[in-house]
Parts: sequence; C-alpha cells; structure tokens
Amino acid sequence: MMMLHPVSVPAFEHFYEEHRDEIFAHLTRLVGRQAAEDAFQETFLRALRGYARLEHGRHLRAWAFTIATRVAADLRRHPAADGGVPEQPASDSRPAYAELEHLTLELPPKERAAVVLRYGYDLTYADIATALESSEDAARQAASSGVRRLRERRA
Amino acid sequence: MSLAPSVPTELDERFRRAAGAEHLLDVRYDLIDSPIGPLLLARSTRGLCRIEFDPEPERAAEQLARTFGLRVLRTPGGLDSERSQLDEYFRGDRTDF
Repeated sequence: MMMLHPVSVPAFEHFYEEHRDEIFAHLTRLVGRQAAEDAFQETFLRALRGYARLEHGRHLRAWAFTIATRVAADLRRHPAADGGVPEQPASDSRPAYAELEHLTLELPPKERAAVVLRYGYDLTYADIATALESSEDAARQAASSGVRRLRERRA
Repeated sequence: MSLAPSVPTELDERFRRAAGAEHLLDVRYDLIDSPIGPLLLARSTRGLCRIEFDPEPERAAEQLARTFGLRVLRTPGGLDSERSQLDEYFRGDRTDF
C-alpha cells in the first residue's frame, strides 16, 4: 500500500467500513434502534464533511465515536416530531460503555463524551483530546469534572 | 468490537446514496459485471476517471484517494450512466464516449 505518511488518512471507504458497525451499535444504545438509523447517516455525513481537513489518520476511531455521541446529543435536544423519545435498548448484557452512556445522559456534552470515551471505551486522554479537538489536559479535566458531577448527583 | 451487530444493508446503501446526493465525495466508484469480467468504474467531480479490469477494490480506493481526494466511496448504482454507455459499447452500439 502506498503510504505518504506513517499514519496517513485512509480513503473514506476504508474508514467507513472499519467503523460503521460499532458506530451503529453505539448509536443504537444511545438513542434506540429507530432513531439510530437517522443518527447513523448524519454521523457519517458529518464525518465526510470534516474528512478532507484531517491531517493524519491517528485517533479516527475516537473521532468517529465523538461525532456519533454529538449527533445523539443533538437528537435528544431536538427530537423528531414523530416521537423521538429513545426506546429502551433491548440489550441484555450491559458492558461498561452501555452503563456509562445511560448514567451520563445528563452531563454536559463534552464531559459526557470524555467520561464515556475514557471509562467506557478505554481510550487514552491523548485520543480523547484529539476527538474533542482540545488539549490532553482539557480532556482529563472534562472527564474528572464529569465524574465529580456524577458523584455529587448520587450523594 | 466484533460483537457489534452489522449495519443493515438498506441503511448502508442509503448512506452511500446520500453522500453522493449531497456532493460530498471526491470520487464515487462501483463494481460492475461486463462481458470481459468484473470492472471497477470511478468518477471524480470532473467525470469518469478510472476503468479497472480485474480490479482490486481495496488498493484502487487508496490510489483514487491519493490522486483525487480522500473522500472516496463505493456508491452502488451511482455510475449507472457510465455503465449503460459501456453496455452499449459491449453490444456494439457505441464506438466512442
């Protein structure tokens, strides 16, 4: 394969093929099966709009998850007229990210993304920083204030 | 995450069509059957840019990306006019393009 850069950005086709299934699963957990269909298309259209500006191919997975998480948050703020209330996910097994996505529903979007990506998907702060277009410190801070907020709410 | 359920084919194709319809692609390509075997057809924003015989789609997509821009996507049915011109050519009804 031709490589101009050690981590060059792949053709969109390959980015899409590699991540579409897990992004669809992620969206299904966040907004339910029905709404996930629209969210899926919107996620990858947004990715396409930003794709030409990517400078390297690192953290593409985190980037995709972040876009999807934002799309889901937008959907929740402006639900579709025909009943945009998310269905309860039908999944019986509840992996860490699924629990977190549920528990963090009320957090501000950035903190929520940081918490879910860090503790649910086990991404590094460097990855999260790239995904959130911020510094590593800011990512760490967003995750820790998200966690603090969750603790306060439980107290 | 191999446990993730697959994206339904219908949804996958809907996205591919939408990407083309919204003019977000540098290159769209498709694989078609022809009398001389499978062909890969690709179209950039300026027109037909590649016809590959006996294609290796993975490699072709990366080459197209380096030449025409990263936003390369397979769009089933997205090159139907090129395809019907080729059909005419193979039937002997067309000699130029």
